[in-house]
Amino acid sequence: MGEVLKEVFPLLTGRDLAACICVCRQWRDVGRDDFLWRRLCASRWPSICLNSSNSHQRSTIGSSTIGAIRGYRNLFSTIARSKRNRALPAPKLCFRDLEFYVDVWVGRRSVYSAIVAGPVVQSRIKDPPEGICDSMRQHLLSSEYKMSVPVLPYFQFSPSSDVSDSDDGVCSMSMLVRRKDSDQIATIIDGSRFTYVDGLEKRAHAYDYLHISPLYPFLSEIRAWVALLLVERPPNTMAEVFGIELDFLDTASSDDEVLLLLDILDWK
Amino acid sequence: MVKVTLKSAEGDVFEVDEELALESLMVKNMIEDVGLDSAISLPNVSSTILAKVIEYIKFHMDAQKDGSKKTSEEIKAFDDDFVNVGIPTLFEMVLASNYLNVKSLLSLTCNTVANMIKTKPPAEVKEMFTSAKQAKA
Repeated sequence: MGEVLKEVFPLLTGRDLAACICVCRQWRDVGRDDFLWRRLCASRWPSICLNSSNSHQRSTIGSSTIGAIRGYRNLFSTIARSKRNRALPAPKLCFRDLEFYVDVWVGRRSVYSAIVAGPVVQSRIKDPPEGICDSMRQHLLSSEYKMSVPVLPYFQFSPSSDVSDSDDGVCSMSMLVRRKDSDQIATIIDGSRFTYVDGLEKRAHAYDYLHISPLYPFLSEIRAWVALLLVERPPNTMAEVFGIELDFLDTASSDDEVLLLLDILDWK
Repeated sequence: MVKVTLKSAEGDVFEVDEELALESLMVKNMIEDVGLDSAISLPNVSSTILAKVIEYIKFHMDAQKDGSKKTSEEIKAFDDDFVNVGIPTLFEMVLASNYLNVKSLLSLTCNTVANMIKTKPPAEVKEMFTSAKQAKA
């Protein structure tokens, strides 16, 4: 059996060989032979099997090939795997250490201000008010990743803010986040206007570009989205806001992803 | 035509043309070393497998001869049928062609095994090969 495997394994791809190693102990012992993996490495990246002592920059250390040092199997599986299923590192932040400062304005008038604890933002709105429309109900039940802030008491929102040039009557919002472990603060939303109202789903949307730490100069264009959740009241009255949703759906759509994203904000 | 006598593990005797026997590099070396006077003993190859190997070499020699009307499709069909055996037999053929040093048969049988493994998850490969082992036992 072992002899057969020694003949067959050199014909396999790295992926198939990796699967064979999981079959049983005997297959593993044959499949781990670094000679097989050296061949695979040499067929995909011939240069890494070259001996660097032949090059002009001869040095006493580092003259062995990287494969000889790290093992070709290790090398092959590391490089070949890195593209897919890359596991996220564990986030250093946690929602318990976070506090969100939410301010909503109509014109220059503050209509809502609150400090919201991280775990509250992390969870979704549990008890929506009576009278929300069906699409809103479906939206609240959907599996899409959202963070949300329940608003109490509800405040009024006029979707028909027709004054586009002046600040009067335009609804805008700021959201800051504080790390309680280090008492640093960062901006998520900086006075963005709710310029777009989805009349059907009864949501008003705004977004802002995140201020990322200068340690990551190549990251830009990552947006935070906020939405005011509206409930319609009897005729001839204004809609009321019963909750605010936050997401980074362009970028982060799970707790861990959000925490990793928040971690690279420009904390001050 | 000069004949060569091959003796299988069980002691069965196969008399073949020298030309055919020389297709096995191992037998070729043996003939060069000890001559044609005595039978060439192949203790690692069973009669069943030796018969199969001879059948394979004979077909391909005929197919390569001038005036052979065999198309590449027919040769391919023969090969496919030839390796369409259980895993235990296939493994024995890998070992025999390796031992006898018949390159084309080794390549055919190894590629057949490799194709059985390719793109399958480990559990499926394990299932396939352990059931073959049990069937053999």
